[in-house]
Amino acid sequence: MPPEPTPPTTGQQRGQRLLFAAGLFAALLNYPLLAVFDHDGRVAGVPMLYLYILLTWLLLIALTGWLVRGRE
Amino acid sequence: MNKLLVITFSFGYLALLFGVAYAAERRSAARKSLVANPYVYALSMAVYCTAWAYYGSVGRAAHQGLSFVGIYLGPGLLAPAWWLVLRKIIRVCRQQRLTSIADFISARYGKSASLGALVTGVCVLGVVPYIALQIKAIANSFVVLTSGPHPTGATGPALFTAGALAVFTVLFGVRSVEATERHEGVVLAVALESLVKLLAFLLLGGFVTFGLFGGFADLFDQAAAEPALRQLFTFKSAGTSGAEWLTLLVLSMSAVLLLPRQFQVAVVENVDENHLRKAMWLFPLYLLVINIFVLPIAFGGMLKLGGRALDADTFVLALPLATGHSWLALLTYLGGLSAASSMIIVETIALSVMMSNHLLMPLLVRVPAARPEGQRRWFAYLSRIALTSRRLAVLLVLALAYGYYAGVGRQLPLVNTGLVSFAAVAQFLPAVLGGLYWKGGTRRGATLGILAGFGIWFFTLVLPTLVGPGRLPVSVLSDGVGGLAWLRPGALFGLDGLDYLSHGLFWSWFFNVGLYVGLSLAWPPTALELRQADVFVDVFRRRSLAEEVTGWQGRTPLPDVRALLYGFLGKKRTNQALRAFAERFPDALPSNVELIHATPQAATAASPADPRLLTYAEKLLAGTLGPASARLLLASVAGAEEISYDNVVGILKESQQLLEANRQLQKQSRQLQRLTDELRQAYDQLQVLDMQKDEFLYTVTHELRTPLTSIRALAEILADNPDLEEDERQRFQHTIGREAERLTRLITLVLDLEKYESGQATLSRAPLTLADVAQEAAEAVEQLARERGIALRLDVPASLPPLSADRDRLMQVLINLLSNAVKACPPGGTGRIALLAWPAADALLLCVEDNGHGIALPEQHLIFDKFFQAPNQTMRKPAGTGLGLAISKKIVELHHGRLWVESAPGQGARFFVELPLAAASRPATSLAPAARA
Repeated sequence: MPPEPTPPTTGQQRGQRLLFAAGLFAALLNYPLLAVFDHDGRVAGVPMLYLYILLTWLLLIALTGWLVRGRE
Repeated sequence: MNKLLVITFSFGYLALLFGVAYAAERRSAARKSLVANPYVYALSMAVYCTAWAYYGSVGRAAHQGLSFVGIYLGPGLLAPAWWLVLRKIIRVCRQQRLTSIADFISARYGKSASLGALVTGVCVLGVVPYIALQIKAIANSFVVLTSGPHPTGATGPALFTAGALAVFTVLFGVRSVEATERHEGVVLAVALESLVKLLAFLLLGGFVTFGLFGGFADLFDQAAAEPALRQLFTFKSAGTSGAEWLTLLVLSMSAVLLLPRQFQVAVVENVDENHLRKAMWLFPLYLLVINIFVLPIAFGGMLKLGGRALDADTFVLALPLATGHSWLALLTYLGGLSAASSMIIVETIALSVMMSNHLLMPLLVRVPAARPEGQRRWFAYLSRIALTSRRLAVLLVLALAYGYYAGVGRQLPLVNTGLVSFAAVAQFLPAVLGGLYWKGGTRRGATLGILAGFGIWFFTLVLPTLVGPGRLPVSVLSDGVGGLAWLRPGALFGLDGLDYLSHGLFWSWFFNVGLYVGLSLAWPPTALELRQADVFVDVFRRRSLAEEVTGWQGRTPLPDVRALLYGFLGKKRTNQALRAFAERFPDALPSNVELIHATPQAATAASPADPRLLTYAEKLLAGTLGPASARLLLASVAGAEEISYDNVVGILKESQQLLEANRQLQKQSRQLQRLTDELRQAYDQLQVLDMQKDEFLYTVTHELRTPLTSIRALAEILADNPDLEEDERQRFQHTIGREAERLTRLITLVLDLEKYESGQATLSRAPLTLADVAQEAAEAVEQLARERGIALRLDVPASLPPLSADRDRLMQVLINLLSNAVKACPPGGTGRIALLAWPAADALLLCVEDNGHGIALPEQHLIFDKFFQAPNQTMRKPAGTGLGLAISKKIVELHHGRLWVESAPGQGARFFVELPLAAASRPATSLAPAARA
């Protein structure tokens, strides 16, 4: 039998993926994980915690944009 | 700066907003919407960033460090889940024509008027101080800009601003009695304001970071040198606990979903569900970008202005002013004005509709029940009252906000007002989420949950702000209300150790969720609640049957319904709506003409309205008056809506079964499809086999005809010529005999082959020594080889392990291979043939090697086919039958072995036979069907 073609992403699948992304990043941006970056260090002059939060947030935005891509 | 200049710019800016809104409305009327795109939608959502974000974030960052990010990160974390939650709310609201958070909750829990009123009350009490904060921000920023950093009399500008915004809101926000109508002018103005505040803030941030300092690294280096600022770099040293951070995230998540203004822009003003896709990442991106410079501005302000004892909330304006860039200060001021005014406008619109529809209308629609004679006239008035009451509500909300600001707000610290507001609307979260995903929630649970949550909210979060000289004594905080220690607002029931917000949110949600779930489980839902639950929870899965079937059952005359709609929607809109209904349910109306054009005089002859029409009319009215008032209103013409509990439960069960049956059907149809595919494949295979069969038959008969033809010809010669010479006769008879023999051999082979192919052939296996068989086979062809001068070498060691095989068949294979080799070898002394054997892993390998003409690569597969004749045979009669190798291959395969060839033209050929030793243990004695395919 030929392998079945990949079905197009349904609304339900999309929703589950997005929910997973939200949950994952909620965990990344909360304690106890946040404590890992909650120290005095600075990267390129910018406080570590500030940079971590903003960059992780940016990553979530990019991921969301990628997950909702497709025909309008 | 010059006061006049600032006033001119302020009003110039507001005039610009009027212009933009007016243009958008004009375009909308001409059906060339400027608003129907995802970018405007996402920008309008940024009404979330108010003046509190604009000025307050910097102030908060200057004192508490990074925790301000949580207020914007929360919506960012929730945004991906909008696809599930917000889209569902939008879908429900569109289907049910709901226009506010109060509508939503009231409609979900049995269209309860009291619940709608409660939600509206909570919203007004929770949000009015928030609006007051915006007015204060505008007034203060005006004063800072015009008279210096220590604001004094700011009441004047605050009053003017509130007045101008009231005019704008009444003009563009309350236009039609139909609340479902979108306000394109307002949305475009708000989107523009979002753009202005973003650009202004970025410009200021860039100026501070790169103008006043040498970039991020320099700014943070200087801040790190100050111990007071350095401790703001981390949560630990700034004193932000994990609980507080989580509370900020959760609060802002619920706020972005439930604040009246967010509900207005995200749900009511949504043009297309698909716009949500872009907004889901554009809106968080907006929040991220506007937050980048908050910390640099806060630190910049502390470093440059730290010594002047300034309110950190004014850094945004004070920084450019102190460095002599008044134009930048003016631009920043306009950004703040944008943030504040857009919030005030949208929030006021949302609140005004809620107040009119949930506080006033339910009372007014009940009035005519006592005096039925003037009913129709009263309804016509009601629609005018609805519109006027909304306009008055706009004024009332702004007056309340201004009053709060003037009376209380100027003395009270307003730092936390925004978050306290968030916590107030967060009380709706259990009822809303439960309403969307749980069918068991009831009106009783939701009402008492919200009520209890609101009470705790007031006690834990509002009461502490009222403490001060001339108001509440400080002892309330330290000793508890009435001296009861367990009634301390900051540590209710002795719960100590949490920060102010987390403590308030925890207790309010504890009671809210507990009562909502507990009471919902304690008393079963009514029929109406059950039906509404079905409509809300399953909105994506199916259209609710229950809603259509169990609606209004009374025999209401059609003209009464029409008259009711006329009163509220006007003639034109009513006819339009009824025509749309007639298109959707052609069978529901006796005749469209009668429905739309009948005069009231013909009313007596009219037939009763279809229940579906009544449901439709109720929804139309709900879009104008809210679901609770609409239901009351319809009940006044159609009689009380009697929904039988059993009926609803029965229908819900039925639709559940229907859904299940549908799913089963789909599964079966998929199975059927798969079977069909398999059948088609089998059929194709059969066709190929059939073709092969035909081909085989054709070849066989052709092969049989050749010797037959020659036998017949010779026999005819013998019969026709009795005087043939003895010599000749004998030669002919000999040929006939040889041809007949050839025929017999051919037939035997064909029968053999058929036996193998049909899987009927069996092996009679017995342990044998390969050397013996090889010897015997070599002897059989030795004579032939010697005749053609070919040397035959045999090298099969006797020490090979015994093999379990069918001796006769194996012999047949070897003889076939050897005689083929003989045929291939050149005659005349140069031919060499070798028969070799050696043991392999768990098999024996046999090899027949010759130095003949060899076989070209493309033919190496074909030679094992039936009736294949090597093309370079020049003899008139081919040397073989073309079946030998085909049969040999079958025999070897029957032994679970392999037969293959390695050869190249002119290089001789090597035929290999691999016979597994372990085959003896396998019982298989016939060809597996798969081997035939």
